[in-house]
Amino acid sequence: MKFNDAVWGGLLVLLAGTILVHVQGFPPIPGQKVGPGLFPGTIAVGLGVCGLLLIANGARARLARKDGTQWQWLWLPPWLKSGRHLAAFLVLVAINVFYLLAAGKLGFIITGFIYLLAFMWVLRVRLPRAIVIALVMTLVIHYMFYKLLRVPLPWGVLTPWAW
Amino acid sequence: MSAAWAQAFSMVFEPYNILVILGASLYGLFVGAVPGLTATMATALLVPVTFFMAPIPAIAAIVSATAMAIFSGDIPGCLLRMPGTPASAAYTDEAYAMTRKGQAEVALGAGLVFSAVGGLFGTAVLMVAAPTLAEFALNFSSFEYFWLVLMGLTCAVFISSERPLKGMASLFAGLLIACVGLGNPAAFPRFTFGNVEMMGGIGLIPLMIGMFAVSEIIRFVVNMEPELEIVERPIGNVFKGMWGLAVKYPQQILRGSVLGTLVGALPGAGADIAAWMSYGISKKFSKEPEKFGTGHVEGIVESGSANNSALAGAWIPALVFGIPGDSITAIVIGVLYMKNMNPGPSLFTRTRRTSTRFSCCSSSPT
Repeated sequence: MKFNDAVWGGLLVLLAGTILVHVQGFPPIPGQKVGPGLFPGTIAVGLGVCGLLLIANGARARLARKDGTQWQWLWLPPWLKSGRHLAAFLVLVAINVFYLLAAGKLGFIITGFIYLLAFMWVLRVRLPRAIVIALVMTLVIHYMFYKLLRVPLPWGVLTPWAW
Repeated sequence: MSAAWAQAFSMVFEPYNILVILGASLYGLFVGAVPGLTATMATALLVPVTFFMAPIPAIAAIVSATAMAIFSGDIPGCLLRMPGTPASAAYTDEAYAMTRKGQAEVALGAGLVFSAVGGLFGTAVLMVAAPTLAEFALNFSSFEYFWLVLMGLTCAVFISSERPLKGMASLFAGLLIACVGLGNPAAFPRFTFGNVEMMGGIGLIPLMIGMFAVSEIIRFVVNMEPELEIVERPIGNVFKGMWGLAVKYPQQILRGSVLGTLVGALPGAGADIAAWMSYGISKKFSKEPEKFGTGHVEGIVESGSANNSALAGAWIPALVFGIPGDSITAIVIGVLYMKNMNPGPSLFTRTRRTSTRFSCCSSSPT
């Protein structure tokens, strides 16, 4: 998906404005001119300037178009019209959100298995093979990070059977 | 001095040490090649292992693992467009473009050979000029650091060739992300939205995985004609044609190595900044800058040598003054203290031998 420069410019200006308003609430350091708001404020000004220039770019591109072609806000990529690819994209986003929300409660092994299984579906792996790969990979990753690298992966509902 | 060097060499090239160097190199190769695992992480994971070793193999293990990790970060960058370590991010697109043109072996070879050249150059500087250089770097105050960092950031803008304006906007967005958390002088929670986990800020590794790895997966998943863009052709001899490149770009190699060593020697700036800067410089001074980004080996040659020489350069302030040049040497300084080899000027005055030992260790893997 490609947006017109002006769209991005507008978003940047909006973001910059929000930050500028927000940093006014940051407390100053007593006795100093420089507080925690200075740096984000400066960045926001930079972002705002970039945003304005992008809007100007978009407008200039519109003026340069004399043949009467339509002004486009965004260009849709062809994959948005293909149900399979759109579903694949949505599943990909969904499983990441799912991991974020569920990993703590369900534990790494269950969440990771579901995650990988869904990912295999996206990649069109046949189901029996997908189940085996997802199971083995989850256990291998768990062993590598939990046992060897000592990353405290959550056990969740499997806590009573933790090994 | 030469007697000390000879002694250091004989100490490093004991069979046991060679074995350790070999093992650590393989380990570094693996960690560096996995996107998202950095050379710093490789070092951190090695510390518990080196705890049970004598000082020389311990240092040798860490130095060889990091040098290999920085090089092998080029491999997934070149073949999958996911840099293995941040130090390879500067020329990932370039190397991947070469792979698509069927020149994977040239990109990989350039990464390997000129990494080694840069590493050896940095090591030579470390052995000969360490004390002088460290003094120079110590003269830098906050003002000089500020401008140095700013220079590195501007280079990042010029790399995004076609649209500097968008590069600038991304730069500001990145700086804004870096603002998140408690990491400011007032320790005021900025942009945390009341979330406790956001207080620690947004780390480089999750950001890198999100920007490079996840985006690559999405690009693959929505591809209308899915075919994995790994090289279809067998990769030929990676050393083929390297001498030709060395003859063609001697100036670039030297410039990259010198810049890398200098940047590495400055506390706080490491291999990744060196790579970005020298890629930018390479493009600026190139005779054919229009070829950059389309799979042109020149930038890889220069920044590939820069990131490895930065690694060697980082040892200079670490050994001479006990000031870490990057996150890797920061960890190693801790290891040195555990081994009763306190880094600092006394390391040089007490025994010339100790310092040369490091130099030999750091040159051996490359």
